[in-house]
Amino acid sequence: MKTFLATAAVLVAFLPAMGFSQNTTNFARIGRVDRFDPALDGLLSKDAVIEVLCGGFDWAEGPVWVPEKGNKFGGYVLFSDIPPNSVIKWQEGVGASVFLKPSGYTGVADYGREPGSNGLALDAKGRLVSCEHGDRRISVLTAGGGKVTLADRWNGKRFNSPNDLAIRDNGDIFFTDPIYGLPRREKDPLREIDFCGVYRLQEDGTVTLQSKEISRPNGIAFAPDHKTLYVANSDGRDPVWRAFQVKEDGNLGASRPFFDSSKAEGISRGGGDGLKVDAKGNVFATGPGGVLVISPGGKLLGRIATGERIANVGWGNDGSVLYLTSDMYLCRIKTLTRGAGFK
Amino acid sequence: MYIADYVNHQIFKVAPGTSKPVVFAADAMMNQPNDLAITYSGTLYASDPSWSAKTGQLWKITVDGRTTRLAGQMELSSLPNPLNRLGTTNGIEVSPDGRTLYVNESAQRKIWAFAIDSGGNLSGKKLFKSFEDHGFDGMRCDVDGNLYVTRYGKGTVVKLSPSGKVLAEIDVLGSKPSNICFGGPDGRTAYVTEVEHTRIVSFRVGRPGLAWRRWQEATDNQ
Repeated sequence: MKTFLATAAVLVAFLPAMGFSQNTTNFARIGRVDRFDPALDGLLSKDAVIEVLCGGFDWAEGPVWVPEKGNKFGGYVLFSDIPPNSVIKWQEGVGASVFLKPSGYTGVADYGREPGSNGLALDAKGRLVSCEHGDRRISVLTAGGGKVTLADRWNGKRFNSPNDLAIRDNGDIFFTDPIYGLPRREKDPLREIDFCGVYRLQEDGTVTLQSKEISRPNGIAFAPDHKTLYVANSDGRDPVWRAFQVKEDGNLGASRPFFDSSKAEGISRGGGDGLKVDAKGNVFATGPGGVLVISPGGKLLGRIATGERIANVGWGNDGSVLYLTSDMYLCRIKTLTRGAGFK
Repeated sequence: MYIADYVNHQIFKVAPGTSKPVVFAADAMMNQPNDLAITYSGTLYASDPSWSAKTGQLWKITVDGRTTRLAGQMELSSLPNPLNRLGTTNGIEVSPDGRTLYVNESAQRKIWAFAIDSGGNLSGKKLFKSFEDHGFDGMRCDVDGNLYVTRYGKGTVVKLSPSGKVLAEIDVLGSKPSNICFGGPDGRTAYVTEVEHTRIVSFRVGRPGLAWRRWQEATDNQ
């Protein structure tokens, strides 16, 4: 074996002065884009590639773009690494580092495989809102201070393990509460609520149950007009993404099946995890084999397949770059569309 | 920063704040050198393979630039066995306590652990880990002494415990990882040069890199 390229420097001094930074143009590439419908060409160009930005995570989840004034790249990505109870920051040109630990469990007893935070979002003030498994709450990280609990109970009973959230334009937080963050999951003796709900949390702290018709509600996101709420079911026995009407009073009305992976062609049956919606109403939903791209009418257009399991997505930069938390990797792919809410 | 010049049998030094390499050490008896490891006190160890002969040497370079051949090549009859016999020495690293020098032989697929004595010389050699397939290239320790070894040809980095147990194996998305270092804001990002696609791949690790930690301590003390 010829390893002449292996000549190495021992970097003992002045790395920062050298301007050593993460390679920003030549990231490793994995996976592929499956094209099931020509309409996908308007959302993902034929030469779009999945880039691996960093790896080595246990189970990456909940990517959120944090705009930052004065930042050369306009901001950075935060995401949860659930098993090690951490939120990771990835900054282009710098790399990944621990942003927050503990992120979702502050206890001392062992709390199973997934104690950390899961879904993340920014509120209207730009503060980080977290779904916390171990502390079983929705929290907000205050500027210059600690966390404030926004909700940890419904009707006096502790949540199972808040999983993912969507913040409405009026400030209401809608979130899902399946059992994945409990050490023994559905059989856990710590459970106080015997179903997995979708909840509405208003700014005054009021928590109202909106639905318990989904066996394992998981990913959740609003359509661009905030009058429809999509919720994934991660239960493979009922692999249906549902669309809820948001009523005038701000509560959820009737739901309808929006997409059923068991009836779609080209993909296998399977439940869904995190999802986001673009400005045109297309749904980018993690599901069997990758990120399913589904038209507003419920038609499967394509799939972004990293080749690994994938938990969630989130737009960043100018709104066109889709970040993917895919098992041990943080990846991204450039899209031809923009995430809902990006201007 | 020290740079192994594998063409001209020498090691460059680049002083902080400058970008001009000056010759720090040179020895016509070197085949290459290929890779470097550094101790807390600044002593360098260099691997020095002969690819054609499938042998190799090890060098010590003290802070004054003096070179000493510590091991390798048969003509050094004054050296006791088994230090005489070495394969294609390639990746090289010193443990956090400065008492063990790890050297891999990429053609022979063995990683050796040499005992470093108080004079910085080698006093013993034992097999640390061997593999049946592919090769090795550069390797580095984290602060706990776990050794991350590039598996050249296989396309992975293996994390070995100080007792030689495989703790993890990380796919680097290309078959030819050639070297590794740790950096980033918390020293817990591994950066790997990968030759097949000529790119840098990064992944997260549990503990900071040894060299990164030393750099932090050095700058904290200023």
